[in-house]
Amino acid sequence: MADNNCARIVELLSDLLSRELTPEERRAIDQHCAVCPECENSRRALHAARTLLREHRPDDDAVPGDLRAALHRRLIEERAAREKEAKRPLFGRPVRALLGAAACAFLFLLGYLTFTALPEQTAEEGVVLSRSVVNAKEPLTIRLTYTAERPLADVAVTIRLDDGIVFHTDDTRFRDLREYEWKGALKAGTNEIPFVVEVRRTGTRTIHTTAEFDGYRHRHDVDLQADGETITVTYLSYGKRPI
Amino acid sequence: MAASVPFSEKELVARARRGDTAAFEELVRIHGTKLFSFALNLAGGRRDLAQDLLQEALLHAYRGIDSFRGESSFSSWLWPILRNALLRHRERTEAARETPLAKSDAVADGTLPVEAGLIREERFGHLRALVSRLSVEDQEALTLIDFQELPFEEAARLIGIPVDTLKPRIFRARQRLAELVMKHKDLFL
Ligand SMILES: [Zn+2]
Repeated sequence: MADNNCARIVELLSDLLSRELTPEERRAIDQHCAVCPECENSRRALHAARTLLREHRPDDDAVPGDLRAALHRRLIEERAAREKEAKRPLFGRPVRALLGAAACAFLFLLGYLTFTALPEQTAEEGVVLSRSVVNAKEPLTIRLTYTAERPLADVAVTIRLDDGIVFHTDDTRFRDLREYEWKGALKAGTNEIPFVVEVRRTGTRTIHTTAEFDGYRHRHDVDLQADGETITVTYLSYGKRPI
Repeated sequence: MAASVPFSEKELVARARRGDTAAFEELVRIHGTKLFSFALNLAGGRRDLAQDLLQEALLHAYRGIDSFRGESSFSSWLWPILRNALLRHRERTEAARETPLAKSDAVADGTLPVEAGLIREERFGHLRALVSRLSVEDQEALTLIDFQELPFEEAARLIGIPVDTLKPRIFRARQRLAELVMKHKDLFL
């Protein structure tokens, strides 16, 4: 039989997850629960809940892999949609053929190559700027992004493809090119030089790029590691050295 | 080669703002567990729904990343965006409103050999279902303090309230959770 204390005991029990009860409070609960099965069950349920909370580890709620994969796909779509909206004339006529291909390509990756922040010396190993995994079935857009502190005239950017990589274009003049040199000016702020390639073979191949201005040669590589299904794209910086 | 890109959070944000999806994904990896924990609580422990909620919220954040000016930390900026996006999405998702609370037959009639671990999982699911019935402010406080075990200062910064406001809030949130547990005590016995 329960005494008439249920309301007070329930009030104490409702603090069980919030704070340590005093010895007096625990004694009151013990005495009451000994004669009141209803409150005893409440107490047992709360102890179970408290144990569940204590045994739970933050990492038990790690983001599942399939969510990360789904997010990855959605972000790529999102970015492709953005790219479609923002059509920018980027550089001169010969490369427009390549840009035309970019419009229908699987836009993906931004290589953010900051001239101003580069180390003086050549980094022999290369510093990884970014790395992403893309679908191997789609043409791959490489976006060289140069941030200049001030307008720069007479910039030359050379893009050289390893065997197994070709420019993706309908223009036959470019299809067989192994190397392409772009000459132009960079404005202050962000400048993008995108081009589209196809990876024809599995294995690791490299797109070598150099940019020359102000008496320095800046070297960046884009490593493409293809396994048939996906391509892992790694942007590397090798710093700059005097020409 | 290293599996992840060794960038500071500031650099990652700068890159994400330029549209670098890999940088954004790295930020999600860093902060993901807190976020997914919150989504799980909002979704009453239903992982499929929590994934759905979080994915929408993260896309929303990605679209709005230009509005991040670097005045606060990235996570303090991200949290309210996610919180609001999660709520909006949950409102649209009819299924999220009622998370069923019932002992599964296997446990209730005791006829099937159920391992203790499975029972614990199920009970934990019930606990989350109860958490999801609390106000969002309560859920937020419980997620960060009790599920993610963040220090008060960090949790308060994330939510954007003073520590002195958070402490009574978590106290009352636990009380309200305790009241729900007592109301549904059969699920935990
Ligand atoms: Zn009683």
